[in-house]
Amino acid sequence: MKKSIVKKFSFVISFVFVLILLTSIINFGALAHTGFSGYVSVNSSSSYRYVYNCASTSSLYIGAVWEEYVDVFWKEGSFYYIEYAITGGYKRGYTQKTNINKTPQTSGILNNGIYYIKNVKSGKYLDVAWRGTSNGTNVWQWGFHGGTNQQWKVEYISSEGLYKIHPQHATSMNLHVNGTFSEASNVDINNENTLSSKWNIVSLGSGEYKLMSACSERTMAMAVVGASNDAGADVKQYYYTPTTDNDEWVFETVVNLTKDYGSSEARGEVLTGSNLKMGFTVNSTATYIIETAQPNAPNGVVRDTILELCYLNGNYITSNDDINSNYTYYSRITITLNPGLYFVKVYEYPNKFTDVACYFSVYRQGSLIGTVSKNSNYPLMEDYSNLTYDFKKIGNYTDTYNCLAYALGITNDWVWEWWWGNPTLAQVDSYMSSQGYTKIPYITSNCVVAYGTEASVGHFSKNSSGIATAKLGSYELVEHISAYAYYSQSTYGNPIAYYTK
Amino acid sequence: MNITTLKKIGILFIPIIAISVLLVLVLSLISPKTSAEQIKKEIIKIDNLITNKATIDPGFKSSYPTIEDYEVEFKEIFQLGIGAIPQLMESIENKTVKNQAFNISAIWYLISAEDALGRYNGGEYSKDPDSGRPIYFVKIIREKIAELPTEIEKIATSDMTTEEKIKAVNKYGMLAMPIIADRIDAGEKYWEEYVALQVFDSSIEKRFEIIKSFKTLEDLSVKSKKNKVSKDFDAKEWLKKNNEDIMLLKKIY
Repeated sequence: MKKSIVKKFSFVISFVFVLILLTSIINFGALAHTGFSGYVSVNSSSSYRYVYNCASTSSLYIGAVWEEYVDVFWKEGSFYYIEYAITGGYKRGYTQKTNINKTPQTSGILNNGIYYIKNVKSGKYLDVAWRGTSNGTNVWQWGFHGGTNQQWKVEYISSEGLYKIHPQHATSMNLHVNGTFSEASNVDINNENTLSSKWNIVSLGSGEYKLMSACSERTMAMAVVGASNDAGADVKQYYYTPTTDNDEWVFETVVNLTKDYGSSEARGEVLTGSNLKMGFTVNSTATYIIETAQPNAPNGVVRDTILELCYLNGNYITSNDDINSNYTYYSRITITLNPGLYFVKVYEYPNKFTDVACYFSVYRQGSLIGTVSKNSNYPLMEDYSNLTYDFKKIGNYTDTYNCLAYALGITNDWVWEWWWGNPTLAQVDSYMSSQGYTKIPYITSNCVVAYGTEASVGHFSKNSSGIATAKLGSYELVEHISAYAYYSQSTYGNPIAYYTK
Repeated sequence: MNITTLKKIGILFIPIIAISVLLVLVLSLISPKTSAEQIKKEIIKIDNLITNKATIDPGFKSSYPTIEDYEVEFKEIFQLGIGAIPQLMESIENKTVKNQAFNISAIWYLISAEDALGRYNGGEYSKDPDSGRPIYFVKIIREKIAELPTEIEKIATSDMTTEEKIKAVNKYGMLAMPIIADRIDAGEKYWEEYVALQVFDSSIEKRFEIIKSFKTLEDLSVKSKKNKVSKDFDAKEWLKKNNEDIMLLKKIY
């Protein structure tokens, strides 16, 4: 072997050795990091620099200096770009290394999960202003009310490594930046399918995230303007500032399993404020009806409910504002559900009140829950199917007492003042008054409920702790999940009056 | 005792037994069909019909037993006539029937009183905790019956027009019939119109159908009733034919 060749070979060996040694030294300081390693070209320099852990917010090693807060987020052609912060500003670079993966799904964020997105600084929630549904409707922060305009479905676009974020009151819309690469561009909703409607959700640890807009090449984060704590404070995109937390967010899953009856029925009382959600279990595939009952409101106050049904994982299923196409204050969802866990939410229609108090029910339609005849072999569901949504037998057939008797607390006698027919509401008012009852303008958790019309009242139930119990003529004593248990066109109809003692 | 003696005794007893059987048969034939005891039995029979019916039929969802719910049973009651009213009342007071609500409704239909025996007077209801119960309803009927003779006497001898008198008594419905019958016998012919207004037609079935068509208390007003009376209705004939029922009803005075 010639000497020159040996020399050249030794030089190459030494070079490789030094390179390996250098690489080992570089990596030594970054053993705690994981992620992409590769070379990038920094704009201010034509030379390639080695970067580490680019796939998430971490550090960039440029030469002998560790620069903080690096994101590798976008791709142009075969180049993968990074943004990294240095003292006094930001620099950007790129790499041609193909082992930079597109941003994977963010840890802790479920694809198609539905979340409330809370600002770390203010504690307020990302909210579509006034439940608007059109392109350009502003997005701001607002105190928690749990409405669908505060619920955001996070959809991961695997081909792009980006997220779309949809408000649940207008599911075709996206959380959107009205602009591209400029600071203070407003955040709103829009149905366009551009980078302005896409985001990267970056975990900051401790359950906090930043939302980097794709249109700003993931350099800018969604932030509350002026780090305000006020409801209604606007939300815009700014370069992410790690030292403040008005551009950091917490994702709260829209789930609150408050009650689980472990069967095909569930019931709940929605109280003012926080207890607006109820979980329930469906054990068998059937058609279920979920509806709100008489909203409980002070005299003269109109309350208007909106009802939502979701999977337990927070995925939105459907919602309803009014029972019928005509304007009503109550909401109803009729839906076939497979076995699983679900939850319902009730909230007040916007611009009315910030809270709602009402009863709501979940029940199975058309199902034989119990035999209800004096003859246990005689299924009576046919007879009840046009009368009531749901019932549960709790007392046997007997003509010893009737609905009014039971409502008044009498089970050893029949009580009916009007043996010829049904009384008018005025007659019932008068009779109830004679028995020491006071008429009240709205349903309460403990009251007597009269059913029918002003011209003809034909039925009564006892509403106790939110559960309506009624004797159905000479039939059985049954329990209804809500006072609104009967079809409006049935013999009994809807509640017409409420009395308390 | 030898066989001959036994034969003699046997021969002696045969006519006695035959006469006894004949007597029983004759007595049963000549006794009134609508005797109080017989009505009582019929009421029990109907009560059993309703009870047994409930095992094969779901009963009723209404707050009270309607004619639609128990058409067959109410027809049976109508066949018994107004003479059944006292026994129906007793069945409730003595709790001899299971289906008290039905019996109360039956009384109501038989009486067919315009203002529900004064219970809708100005919308005032009793504060009695029993108010609305069958037993209380019977109590009210008894109170009304107690005042009936005096009240009708007062009305009949007042300066009211015939029309006003009939309207004033109409609130008692059929309960007033025994007194009205007496007054007609005494020559107050104008009360025949009252009889016509309560009975409508000589046929029990027809009366049942008319009452069945009534849905509100207003239907029991004199004005409404007038349109229902058959043109050829003969009040005197009806009173004669139903004298026994009227006498039975009179016993509760």
